[in-house]
Amino acid sequence: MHQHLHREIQKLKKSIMIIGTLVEESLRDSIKAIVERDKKRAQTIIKEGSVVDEMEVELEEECLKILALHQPVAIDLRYIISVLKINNDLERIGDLAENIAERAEFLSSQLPIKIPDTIPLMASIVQNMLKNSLNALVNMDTLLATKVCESDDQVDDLHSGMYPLIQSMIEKEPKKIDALLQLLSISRYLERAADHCTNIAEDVEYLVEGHIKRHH
Amino acid sequence: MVSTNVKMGMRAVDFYYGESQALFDVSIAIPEKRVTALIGPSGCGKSTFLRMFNRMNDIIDGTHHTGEVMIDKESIYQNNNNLAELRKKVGMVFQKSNPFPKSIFENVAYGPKIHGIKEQTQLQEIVENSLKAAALWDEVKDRLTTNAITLSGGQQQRLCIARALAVEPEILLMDEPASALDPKSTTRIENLIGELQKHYTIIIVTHNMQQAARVSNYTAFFYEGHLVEFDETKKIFTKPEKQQTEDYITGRFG
Repeated sequence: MHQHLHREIQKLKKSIMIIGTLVEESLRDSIKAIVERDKKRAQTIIKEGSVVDEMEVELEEECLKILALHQPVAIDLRYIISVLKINNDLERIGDLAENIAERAEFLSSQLPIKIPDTIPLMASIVQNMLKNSLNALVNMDTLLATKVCESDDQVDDLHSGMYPLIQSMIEKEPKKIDALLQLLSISRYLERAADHCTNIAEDVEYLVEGHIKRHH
Repeated sequence: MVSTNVKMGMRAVDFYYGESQALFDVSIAIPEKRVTALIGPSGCGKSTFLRMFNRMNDIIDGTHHTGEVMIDKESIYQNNNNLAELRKKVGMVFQKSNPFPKSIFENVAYGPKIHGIKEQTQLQEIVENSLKAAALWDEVKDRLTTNAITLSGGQQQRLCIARALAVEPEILLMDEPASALDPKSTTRIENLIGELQKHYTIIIVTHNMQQAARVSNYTAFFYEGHLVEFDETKKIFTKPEKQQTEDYITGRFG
């Protein structure tokens, strides 16, 4: 019974994981490119961004096809709806990684600046959130999903702390203002990536529990 | 869960075909002027359940039950109940349309005649209203005297609905009313169910899960004679409480 549908869902599972892995890699590499002033790495991320974009569209079309042809219900319906939304969040995180790579490219053309510890710290929390939200999806693990949501506050706090920090850095080295301002953008991109990870985790909660918990 | 009035229900009903038990301790409260769909694999007891409400199981030898079956808060299995009155109140439509080999008019007028209406103008009025309510009037108004068996399958089924409506029932039991129809006729029957629900309490047995999802307000899932879950249809088809329900509606049944 319904073997066709379940085969299609297995395919979705694979595709969303491939996209997830690609996005994880570009996020990790974009931070590396910042810290290591690696222009080449930054350019590769920007160039490869379109791969995720294309896969996102393909996966969305797959989901729509399944909805139209199989009219899934209950857990199958929730799974496909969750994949549709998670797919979108992953693509957005991919875009943010590209944005960070663009900043890396710019920074590599400027005089070196000291990258405050907050940036790699935020980045490692966000990377963890991304990894855990995908693991939560694979294992239908709401406890892990809740943990991801909780980490978001930590990222928000670190991001808020960046403003006074950058301000004092600019005061010390006003000539480097252009480069230093890039750090604020990077911090904002990471903060937004954390929001998307939170969305993914909330979708996993919906997938498992059937309640939309957002905004609660 | 049920916010409207309860029209009918069961309390701790066990039902037996001879030795073999077909319903196990079924209790349910069915809301008035709503559509309740019964789903479950073949032989799960949903048709037996449906036929409890017009005492059609009585005509099968060797059947018996315990527990209470109620309509309008009254037990319908009291000995002094008038069976004709019960069947007037509870109309039924079957999987296979079964028009009498008579004219379209006679098919619909048959019930009211049995219940004592003789005046022709009154019968004409009932026939017209019933055919209109069954969304068939426009297609047959110019040929009411032709034999009903010349109608298409979808039209015959709507005629059977009109025939059921002619005696002014309060409840309609539908046993897979669209399973033998093409998609267009099925859509007409489904639309009709949506209209009829304003005036009637409807229970529909269907093997088409999507149909249950489309037409009903409430869904009851039966398995091996047990009422596993009864809830709002939107709940059953998005996040059922019971794993068994989820396994069945997603086709994971072992």
